[in-house]
Amino acid sequence: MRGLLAVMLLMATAAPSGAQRYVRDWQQLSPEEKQRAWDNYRRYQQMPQQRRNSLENNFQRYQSMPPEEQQRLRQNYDAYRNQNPAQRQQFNEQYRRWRSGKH
Amino acid sequence: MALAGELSGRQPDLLGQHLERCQDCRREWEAYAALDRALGTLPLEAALPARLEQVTLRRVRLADGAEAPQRRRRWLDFALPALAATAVLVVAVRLSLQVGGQVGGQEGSQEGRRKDGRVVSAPAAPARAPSAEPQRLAARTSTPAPTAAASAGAPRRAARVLPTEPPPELTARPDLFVNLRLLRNLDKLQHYEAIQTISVDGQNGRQSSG
Repeated sequence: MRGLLAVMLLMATAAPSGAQRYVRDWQQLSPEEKQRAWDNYRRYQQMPQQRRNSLENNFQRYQSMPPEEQQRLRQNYDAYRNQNPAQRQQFNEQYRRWRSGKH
Repeated sequence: MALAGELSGRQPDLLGQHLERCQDCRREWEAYAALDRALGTLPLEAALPARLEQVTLRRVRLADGAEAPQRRRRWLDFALPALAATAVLVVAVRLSLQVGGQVGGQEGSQEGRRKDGRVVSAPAAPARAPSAEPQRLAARTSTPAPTAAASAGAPRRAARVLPTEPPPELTARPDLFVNLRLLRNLDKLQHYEAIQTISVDGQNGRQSSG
């Protein structure tokens, strides 16, 4: 009985109160991901605080997403990265219009 | 002039009258006269002992011989710092190029591509970093020695050595930094399909994301 209570207590404390989060450990990263993280960390260090805060917020949002949604975003990111300059320019214009219509 | 007998006319008489009246000048005159007499006793030429001549000439030759190594040392004193400075400069340029490549890294492969399709090199971010942290990190990033794989034409990134100890901020949230660019464009990516349906001026109708 005491063991069951301990397990329940452990589960209650381990589970986040809000949305479930999927956090990876540094050791779980591949060498390429570690290198990218290092590069981006240096980039991050040079960002103004306002931009860092925005990234923090986006990171919280991203972490709270289920794996399927994160996977969808990564696919969209790959498509976004693979745009040629003309496509990128057009997409950014579309985004600007979408955003102005949204607000 | 008076001692040399170069006074003319009444000047010797006037000088003699003054010396009779002025004790200070007379004392100075006598001192000069004594010195002149002493100098007059010295021979104009003196025979140089042979031994002294040999010793002196040998010292001159030795001094001349010792001067050559000193000249070499002086040249080395200039050349060695110059060589060291050149080596430091070469290493600094190499490091800056390497750090620039690292910063370009993953994002540089995309962001470095300009709109006209040409690829530009990524900026050397740590070099312009205002804070000490990026410089410290750059310093911690060791420069790998050229490996056989690198010399064989392997990708440059493969030969780079990762720093062994990432900072706590990096290890605490590695996904933040791995997905930094994705996070920067999170809004776009979340609505990627919807955004692509927005029509743009000069184009007909709405576009489909496909």
